Amino acid sequence: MNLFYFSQYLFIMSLLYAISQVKNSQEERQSLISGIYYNVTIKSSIFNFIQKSGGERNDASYIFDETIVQFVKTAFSHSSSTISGDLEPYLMGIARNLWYQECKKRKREISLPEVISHQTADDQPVAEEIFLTKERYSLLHTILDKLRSNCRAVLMHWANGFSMTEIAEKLGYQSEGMARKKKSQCLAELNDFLFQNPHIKLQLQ
Amino acid sequence: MSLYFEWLDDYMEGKLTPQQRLDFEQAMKGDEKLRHAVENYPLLKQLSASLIEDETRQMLKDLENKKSVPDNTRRLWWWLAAAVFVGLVAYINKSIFFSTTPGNEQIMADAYIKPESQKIKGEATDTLTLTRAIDLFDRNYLTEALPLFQAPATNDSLQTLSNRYLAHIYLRTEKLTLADSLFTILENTSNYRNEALYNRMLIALLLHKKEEARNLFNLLDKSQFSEKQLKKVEGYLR
Repeated sequence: MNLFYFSQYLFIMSLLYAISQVKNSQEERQSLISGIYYNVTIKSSIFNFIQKSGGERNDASYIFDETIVQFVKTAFSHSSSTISGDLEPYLMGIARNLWYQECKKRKREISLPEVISHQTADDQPVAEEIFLTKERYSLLHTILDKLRSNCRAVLMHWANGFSMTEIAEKLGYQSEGMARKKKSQCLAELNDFLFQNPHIKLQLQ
Repeated sequence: MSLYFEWLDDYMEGKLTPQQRLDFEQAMKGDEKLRHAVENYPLLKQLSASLIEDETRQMLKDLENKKSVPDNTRRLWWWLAAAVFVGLVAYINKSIFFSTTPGNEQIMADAYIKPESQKIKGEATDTLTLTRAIDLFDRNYLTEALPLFQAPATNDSLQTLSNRYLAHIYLRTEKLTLADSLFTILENTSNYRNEALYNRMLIALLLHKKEEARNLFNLLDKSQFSEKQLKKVEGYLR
């Protein structure tokens, strides 16, 4: 489907379907992320909210990106299949929460409109997890970039709660045992890097 | 990599049997990297978990880069495309109205060599007809001269002469195929060989067959032409 039309239909996409897209494959994730990114309804809702709450356009842009990151992170590690509701209100909930945490961090006094969220408290992202400083993110990226792409995929799935059977199935390994072996090799590779670069490890801790 | 790395998750999650656990701990004592992995297991898992964030940020970065293209670079591309389009239109118009490639008239003006006036002796009818035709040709009455040259001659020498003038008339009246076939016949005569080659070269130029023209030019006896004339022709052959 044309990306523009796809993106305009996102605001009525069910949350469960969006989560399945995030979990299914990198291609589907990419398509969903592009869809959200170009969706006028979602983007303008978030931008309006931030700007009405005392934020600048730059803040809105930053929160919009962080909302997508947070949604993908949450959806990727999400295991329940009982979640209901639509994507747009869920994203708005994340954006409001992120903006609230950001304001607290900046110690700015603002009056937040009532946060209407369709999610339970458990679904809300934890502030400490949300905001990585640019330096820390850059460091993380440097480390993760050392991994080969198949290692990245295996470790990413493993650390986000996918079973070895699911990993074998999604990434095309012949058996669960093969996937397990690959995961061990990749983890050893990451471990070696940290072992050889203790200063990086210290910065991360 | 130690084989015990495959037991790492189970060890951390307490899923190993007591014997396996002992074996694993024994292995750890002799393997610094395995010990490092156990000590840093939460960090390794956290780093692996953040791969999804890394991937998403990279995707967003790509989208941002794609988006920033329209604002600046795409606008520039549009201007460039418009400029190229305007240039193209101008070039086409120029080609149509002010063609820079030489036209056939120009080539003829620069390269055509009119045969020198020739006098023939004799009182026979065909000789007199030919004399009259040549006179008309010299004065550029080509239409009037043409039927006189087309009249059959009584000997080969006069026929060859008629053919020579006929070929020139055809050339000047742009009946190039006819002219070319007559000059090809004249190529085999000793008197007009060089002239025939030159005019065939000229016809090739008029027909935009530069390669053929160059080949014919190479066959010419250049000593029969002035340097100025040769330079002009070479200009067209480039």
